[in-house]
Amino acid sequence: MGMTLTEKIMARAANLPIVRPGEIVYPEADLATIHDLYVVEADTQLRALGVEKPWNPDRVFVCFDHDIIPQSVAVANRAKNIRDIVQRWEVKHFYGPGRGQGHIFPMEIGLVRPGMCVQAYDIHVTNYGAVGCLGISLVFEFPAVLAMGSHWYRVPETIQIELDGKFSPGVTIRDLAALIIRQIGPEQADYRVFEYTGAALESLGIDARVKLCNLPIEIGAKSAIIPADELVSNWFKERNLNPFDPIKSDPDANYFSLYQFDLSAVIPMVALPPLPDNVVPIEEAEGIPVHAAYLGSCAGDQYEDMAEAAAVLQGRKVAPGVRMIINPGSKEVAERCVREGIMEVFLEAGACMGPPGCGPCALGRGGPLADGEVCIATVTRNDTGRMGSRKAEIYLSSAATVAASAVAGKIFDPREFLN
Amino acid sequence: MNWVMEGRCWKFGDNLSLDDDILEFSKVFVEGVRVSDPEFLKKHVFTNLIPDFPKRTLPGDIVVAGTRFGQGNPHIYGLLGMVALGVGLISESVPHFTYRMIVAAGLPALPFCPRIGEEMKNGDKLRVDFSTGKIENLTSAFTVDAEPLPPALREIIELGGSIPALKKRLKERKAEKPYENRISL
Repeated sequence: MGMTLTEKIMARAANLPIVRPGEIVYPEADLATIHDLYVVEADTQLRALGVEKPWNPDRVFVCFDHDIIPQSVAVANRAKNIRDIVQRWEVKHFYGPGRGQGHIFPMEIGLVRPGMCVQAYDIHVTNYGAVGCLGISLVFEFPAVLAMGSHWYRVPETIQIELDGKFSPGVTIRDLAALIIRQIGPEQADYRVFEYTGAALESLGIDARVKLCNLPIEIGAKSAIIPADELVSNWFKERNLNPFDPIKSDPDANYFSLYQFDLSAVIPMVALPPLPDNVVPIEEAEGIPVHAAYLGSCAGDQYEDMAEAAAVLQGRKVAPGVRMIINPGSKEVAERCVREGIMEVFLEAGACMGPPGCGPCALGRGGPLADGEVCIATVTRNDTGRMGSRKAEIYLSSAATVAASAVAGKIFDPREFLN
Repeated sequence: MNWVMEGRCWKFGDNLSLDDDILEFSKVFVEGVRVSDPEFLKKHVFTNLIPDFPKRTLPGDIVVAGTRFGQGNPHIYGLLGMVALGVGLISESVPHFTYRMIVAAGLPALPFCPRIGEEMKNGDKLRVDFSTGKIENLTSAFTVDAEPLPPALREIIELGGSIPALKKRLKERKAEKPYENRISL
């Protein structure tokens, strides 16, 4: 019996010829990633263990994407402290504020590559599955990786998800990703890896693939991955990045289960508060007045999200009484938006531009919600308090639906603007 | 440590949350700072469900829970409190971060025992071997073999959880095999 892509990556990183689901292995991180919210705590934990610097500073990535611009002296002091720690750790891959979202730009610069095993503090590391990299998170156990380069994992089972067909106009990848997590649900998803296959992948670029790899973690999946194909190879070539050896699941690999989705049958979807898998067709939420519309977060801040929103906002204005905030995912995304006139569309429409990074998805940083407000957003989660007040409500949707709702002042089907 | 525990059954339902049912998260904070001392935490374990639970349990007692024990935000504090009380855990299922935290806390557990609740009543006398997975209800003479945690994880629990295990790995670091299959950056 062969191995799935995930099993192959874990076996290689654990220095084992073969691994099987259920086994406990210690894969070494090809890259260990951590962001500004956790560096100080990690350093405190490491020093308590007598560890002054990571096991291999060349394999450590630190970025500022949560508190991009400090909003208080306390946060500014912490940022200063982080810079001192990063220097003492001798971190090779350190990126300060303004560079972008740590779950987006490392792919653009080729730091994250197909076949890698990246281990992270933050759960949304699964985004890297878009380029065929296995991203796994440890949260509070992450210092073990910084200290030793590895930690234990139970090899997960893989769920295969086959995608076919093409979207109809006004329907986008976020709608599909939301539908997938609703259909599979937390019970089936728990500790399993989603591997996407199927003919539809030919029409889904890296930006779309990121959405497919981002949402499953919200229902407890361990990770999500798409085998790197010609599309990824071309993406690497366009950026002058070193080529890679493609790997994929063996034909006789064992999957836990198989799901099939037809893109042409998907319609715009909205996740109702307070759970990301409370996913319903948009007609069940249409008409709910919104006070804020937010385009950003590692689930909705890439070029295609920006272009999708711009297609709706072109020649239209954000409704009076609605504030629209947009944080592009990276410097590259922001630059392309400027070059292609998308930034102008946003500014003309009356949206506020924030710096590249997590934006208000990170507990409301740079634009919190007030008591009683309703927000429609492309963010990762809609738990109570996720974007500020515990008395605010968050609806999740595609970039097109966020933009259409910003214009209409209420949750609105983007197909009415695009058709 | 002793992998065989003998004591009373404390039976709970499905979907026990980490932050409310197992240990109310606000009780972890003293003057705004999180406290992770197990002796402090044990005073608050399950008290939202059974107010005098910490006073009435004895070391060796077994918590028997339903499906998705420990759902919610992955906070380890309630599990640390359970270790300090000296109780063991049998559950029908746990979410994966809770599985990790059981090991990290050093809690003897059989986390995946489907439908085990049907065979257990509050106060039943139980004997559980957490190393083999053998569960005996001495009151009803029911016996079942559950899947024990893998040996590699029982070793971490034996050491007292993830921090003592990490200390040991750091000490033995030189003995580890060099890693030659890295993907170049």
